[in-house]
Amino acid sequence: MLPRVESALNAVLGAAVTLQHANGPGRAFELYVMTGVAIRLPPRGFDVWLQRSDGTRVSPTDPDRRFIQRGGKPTGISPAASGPGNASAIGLRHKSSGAAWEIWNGVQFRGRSSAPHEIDLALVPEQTGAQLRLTGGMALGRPWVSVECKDVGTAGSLDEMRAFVARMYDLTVLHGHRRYLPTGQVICSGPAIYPAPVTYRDANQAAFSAIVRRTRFARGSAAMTAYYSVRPYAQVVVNAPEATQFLDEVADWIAIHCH
Amino acid sequence: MASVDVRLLPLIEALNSAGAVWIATELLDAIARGHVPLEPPERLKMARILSDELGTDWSEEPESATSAIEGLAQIGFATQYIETRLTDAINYLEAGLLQADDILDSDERPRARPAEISQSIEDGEQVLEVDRAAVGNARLAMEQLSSALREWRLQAEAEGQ
Repeated sequence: MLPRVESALNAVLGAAVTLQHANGPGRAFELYVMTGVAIRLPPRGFDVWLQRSDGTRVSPTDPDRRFIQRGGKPTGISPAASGPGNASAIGLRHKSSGAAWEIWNGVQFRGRSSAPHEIDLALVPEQTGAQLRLTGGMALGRPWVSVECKDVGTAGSLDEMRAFVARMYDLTVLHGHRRYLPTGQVICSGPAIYPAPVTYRDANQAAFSAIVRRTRFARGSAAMTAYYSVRPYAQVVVNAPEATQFLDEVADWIAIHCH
Repeated sequence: MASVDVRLLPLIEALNSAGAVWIATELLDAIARGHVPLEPPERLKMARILSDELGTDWSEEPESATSAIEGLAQIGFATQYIETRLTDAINYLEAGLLQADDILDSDERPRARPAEISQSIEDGEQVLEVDRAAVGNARLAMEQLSSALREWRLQAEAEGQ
């Protein structure tokens, strides 16, 4: 045994206790990414706020100022009636147009096949969140922004890219699909503000999709990215120019498309 | 695929005993995969540009071989992996909490003492919560961990010569 190493590890994980959870480091990365995007939005014309799972805002004077992230199995959106103790989100509103949006973390969306797909960071219209909070459940369709956050040490593979492309394919609702969809579903794109695209290429171009990694991509893994409009970002670590570039590009995209 | 060097086993045990099973699992996976050839940053940049331009003009580069991490090299790889992994996680936590504080303060009047957000991970009955002070303590403890890992690596390398 290595008593010094073990004792120091206990001290690190005993202080930053969320890192004890298998999903803890990943959630820390996602917290950094989603708040990093959000703090870039006020200079681009948005109000931003932290939001509890029941839709209420977190105020600086509230005794409970936790940002809650889900540690276990991913789910959809919890009903507001179940209280504020489920996964938190970030709200944003365009100051001029009043268009409101929510950034979700680790929420499942339903694909056309009915399969659930977890998206690490998703931007959806506020109406989608409000509607889902009435009963709880999953939105059907594709978020406007979908970011897969990978903080593991190994390099990203072509299989990782395939899995993300397949997820986006199942989540894409084209114009021609609408008549086959089950009724009564909350469609996250919302027909009034997200015209149903005719082709997959239209859908890929209309949204922002990215895989963002703490480490790098293995040779060959970028092959599917350009065609499917999945933007690859590597070495996104705190204070790195790669992180600044990624966060700025997401914020710029939101500023251009979401008002 | 390289087999795990027996000299690495006490470190794996220490990770498991400290509750860092996830690092042990990742580390063994990384060693099994070895060093893989990587996409150069300019190819990723090109991919992002082509994503915006409906681009399909993508040229594949020939595959190159992975190189195994074997023997004593696993010791250096493992200590570096653990140190970088935990340091990055602490950096993400600290920056994420600071940015969350900025969001909390963005639409309110200035106050004498800024409010602070904590991160809470909830998994059924298990609730884990951390604030900036705790992250600061973790950063201090990282210095001890780096020193302990360095000491063990040097000892293992000396014994392996």
